[in-house]
Amino acid sequence: MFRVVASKILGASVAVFGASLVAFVFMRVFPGNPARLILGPLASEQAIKEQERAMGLDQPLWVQYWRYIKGVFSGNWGFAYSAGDSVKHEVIARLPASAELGLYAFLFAFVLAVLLALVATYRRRPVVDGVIRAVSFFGLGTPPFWFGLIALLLFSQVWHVFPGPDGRLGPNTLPPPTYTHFYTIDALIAGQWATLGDAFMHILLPALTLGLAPFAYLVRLLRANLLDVSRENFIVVVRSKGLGRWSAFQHHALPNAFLPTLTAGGLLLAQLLAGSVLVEKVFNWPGIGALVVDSILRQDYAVVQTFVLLSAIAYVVVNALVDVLYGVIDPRVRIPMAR
Amino acid sequence: MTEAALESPAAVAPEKDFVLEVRDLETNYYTHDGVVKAVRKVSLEIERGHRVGVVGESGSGKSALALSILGLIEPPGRVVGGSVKLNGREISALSDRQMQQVRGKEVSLVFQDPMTALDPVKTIGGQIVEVIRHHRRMSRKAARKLAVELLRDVEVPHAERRLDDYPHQYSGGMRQRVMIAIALANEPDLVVADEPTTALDVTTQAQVLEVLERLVTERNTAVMLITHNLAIVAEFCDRVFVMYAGRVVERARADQLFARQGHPYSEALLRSVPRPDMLQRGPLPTIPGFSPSLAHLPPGCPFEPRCPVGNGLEVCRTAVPYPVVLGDPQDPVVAECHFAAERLS
Repeated sequence: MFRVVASKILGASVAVFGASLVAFVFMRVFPGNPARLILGPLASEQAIKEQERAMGLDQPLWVQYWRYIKGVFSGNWGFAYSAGDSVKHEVIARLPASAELGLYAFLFAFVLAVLLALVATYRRRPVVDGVIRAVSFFGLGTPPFWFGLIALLLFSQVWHVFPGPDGRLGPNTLPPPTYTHFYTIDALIAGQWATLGDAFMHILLPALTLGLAPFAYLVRLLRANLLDVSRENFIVVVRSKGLGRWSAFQHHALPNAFLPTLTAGGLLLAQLLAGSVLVEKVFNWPGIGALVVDSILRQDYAVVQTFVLLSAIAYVVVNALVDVLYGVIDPRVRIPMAR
Repeated sequence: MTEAALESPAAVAPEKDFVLEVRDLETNYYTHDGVVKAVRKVSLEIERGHRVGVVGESGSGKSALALSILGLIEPPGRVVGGSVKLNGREISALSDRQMQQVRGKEVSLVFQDPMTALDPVKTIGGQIVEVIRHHRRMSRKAARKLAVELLRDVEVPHAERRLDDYPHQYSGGMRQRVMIAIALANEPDLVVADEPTTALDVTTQAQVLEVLERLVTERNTAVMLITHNLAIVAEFCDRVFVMYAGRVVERARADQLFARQGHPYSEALLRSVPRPDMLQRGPLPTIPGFSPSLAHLPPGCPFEPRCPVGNGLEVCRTAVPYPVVLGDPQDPVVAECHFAAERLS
């Protein structure tokens, strides 16, 4: 048991370390010079050398990497010159917005996918199944930014059901007091119902847009697996014991069919938490996606490195959670315990 | 030849105590290739506590027959006609909800492949307790106790300790014992065993059959044993129904059938069983060709293209054979072959 956990932790650390190294090296081997980008095309060689020294870019790569790692552990994540602020401030200001949106998108995608896959396979009505398949087909084939624009046009401009692309809150709403940085949860804790409603209305459309493709993917996956499992012999055996179709489905087909969906769900969650550029742009969402793209274009090393490191950690943590859940559902992959 | 000719002969001796009476049961599968007639007006009956073998090749409709009796035919299949009486009660017209009280209690199933017949993510104990508690008001604890007893009955070693194991921790033979325990948990009157030993090696087969035989004898449970292995039938059953292309083509007492076969198909089946007392060099006799497609049956006898007796004969190619009833009217041999009378005289 201890050895299994230890090896998992070791593997995860190696993955995170590897990600940090790759991000670090790639940023620096690509052509371009951040010092020149900062000072502009008219700066003298002298000034650029000066700036490079100030940023530590004149040091050998391994020294730069060592300083970066030391900074990560001591809480100094560097300066984001493209934003004119410390990376830490920028991330704390923007990451929760992306994470909140990603979480809502994931909840929508996962819950609805499971429900619809169940309906599609349990009811066995060709029409119902056909509609659900068509919806998932549409979801996979539609570019999210286009869907977001159309949704804004219809629901905000034409029908006035949802607010426009104001970001996380309307222009007349103050942010709730900070507990978790998630506006909906903070507003709930503070009991500010108007703020809660506003935050919720603002997050609904972007979450729907962002979650559409993951939802479609999960529906297809779970539907296919449920169909496979419901043809298994043990389902016939369970029915021969006298259990009804729904019991057999719920207690036997679903747990067996759920594992691939769980894996895919974990990966999608990690991806969604890390933000999305296009959807954030469309809805003016003050998330991390736009910041990262800007930083890549401007060779803002510190921001990109931090972002890659954080997403690697998110992936590793979510995957560890999935591993644990796997063991709960399927005894065959359970970590061998002392008997 | 009309459909009516396929109707069963006049009912046999009515005063016997039948657990199961199947009359003219018909099951079709509606596929893209057309209607597959998997079970074509099959009649069979099983006396209380007796053991009956249903033999035939793969694709002869044996498993479809078993599932039809249990009311477990799933779309695109459907039972389209006939009657199934269990303990004298007509069950073919019952709703699924009503059948849920019958399955696992009055009639249960031992499924072919023990490797896939148990839910891989549920404990063995849980799967036994499930069938007990579905049919009886019993505390979880009492049901567990009963499950341990059942595992002991089917001779699973260290039953108590192995109750919380999962199927992948059991061997094939042990899993089939678990299946038998599940099937017998509520002391049904009839167990339908669909190829219960096919996936097992010969030694394990013998052990599993021994366990099944002992338990059904103790409980006076009737068994419908579906198999293509005539050696098992010889050992286990007192009556045999030979199925071919969805029909029962011959029915007889086991000893009668093994002595003389009214239908050439029965004879061919029997001949293709390896026998240790007739060791001879050369390949084992096989039946040439394949069973006909149940979606496109030939107009005459379905066995005609493969038949050593009737191949090419006008009568066999054009006329479906009537069931021929021979021997003791109380206990007749019935064979669907134009030459059955000649062959058995």
